[in-house]
Amino acid sequence: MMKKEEFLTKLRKNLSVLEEGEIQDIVEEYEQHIDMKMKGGLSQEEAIKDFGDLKELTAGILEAYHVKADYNAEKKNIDFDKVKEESRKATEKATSVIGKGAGALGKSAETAGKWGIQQIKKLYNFVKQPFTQLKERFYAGKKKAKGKGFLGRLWLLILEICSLVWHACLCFVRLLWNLFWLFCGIFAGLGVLGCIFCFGVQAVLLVMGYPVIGMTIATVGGVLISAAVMIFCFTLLRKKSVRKDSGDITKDSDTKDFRAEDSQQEENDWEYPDDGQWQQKQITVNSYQEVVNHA
Amino acid sequence: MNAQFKKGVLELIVLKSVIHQDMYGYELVEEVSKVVDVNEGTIYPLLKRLTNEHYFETYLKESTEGPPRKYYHITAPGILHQSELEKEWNEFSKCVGDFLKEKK
Repeated sequence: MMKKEEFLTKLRKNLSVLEEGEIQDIVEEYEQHIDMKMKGGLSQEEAIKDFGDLKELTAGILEAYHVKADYNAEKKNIDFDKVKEESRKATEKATSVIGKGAGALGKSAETAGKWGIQQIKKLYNFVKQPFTQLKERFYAGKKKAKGKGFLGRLWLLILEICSLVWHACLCFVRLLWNLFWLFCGIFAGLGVLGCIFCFGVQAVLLVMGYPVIGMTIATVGGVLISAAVMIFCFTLLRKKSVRKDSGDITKDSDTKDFRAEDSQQEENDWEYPDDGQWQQKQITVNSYQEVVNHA
Repeated sequence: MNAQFKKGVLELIVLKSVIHQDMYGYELVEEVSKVVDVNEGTIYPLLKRLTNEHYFETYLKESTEGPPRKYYHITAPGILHQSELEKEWNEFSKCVGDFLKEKK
């Protein structure tokens, strides 16, 4: 035996294919009818019982709209079967791919591991490089100062301090710059992964017949954009010191001759060898002696 | 009474009921129930269909008790349709009556 509320809820559900206004209209009509019956001395259950079978009732109502009475039920069944079928197919595919991929994966894992360690080493050297450079520069200066007079030592000291401060600034800026673009690049990389994930989800929805083709295409665009941004960010990473900065040094410093002579040497000093191992070339004592002579 | 008989004649009875005065749903159901013993639930879909086919117009009217009631008013096409149905019914029942008498 159904209560009034239950009856009306079920009726509403069965008529869900209709517009909300129409449903409301019909439900109100039945509600009033039940209320009237109850006023006439019938119980809720009895009043509802007089309506007969709910399915036949809704079929009759839907018929008035020329709507297939079993539309809702049909739709649900189809969807359920489709989902079942899709998931079964997907599982099969995944299993075969995993089977095939496992062998290749084992082989490539070793290579990937080696490559990964190499990359980490490179990254470590890359980050460490400015500090190593500064340290070695400092010791080189100390060595050079040996056996000079007081003025010579003082001059060398000032030179070294200027150079040290300048290069420290440069290194710091470069470090910040690299970290910033590295961060942006990684962020864009995450964007690529996210977009690929969304694309996968939407592709499945698309296969299931949802109208998400526009979204899917947009997601593909998103993947491309993110990838482009990522690559762009990584190309902005600076390994060598910027030549323009070297030029600035000559302008700012009062040791023009020294800088002009030594600029070639300078650039070599800041270069990474291709294997990523940074090696400091010692600045020759001769060049410094020349500077002292000039002074 | 045979359900198929009822179904066919129900439309005529409903149209005839409101031809002289507008009625609200429950009133109409009561009226029709006097003539034919019918499942009350099936009359509302019929009213809906007749409204969709423009044989009825509806309007809301406040009642002294409870929420406003939806009244059904027959339209000109509704009156035409009703008279046609009535004519058909009369011919049909006369034919069937004559046939039944003849075979007695």
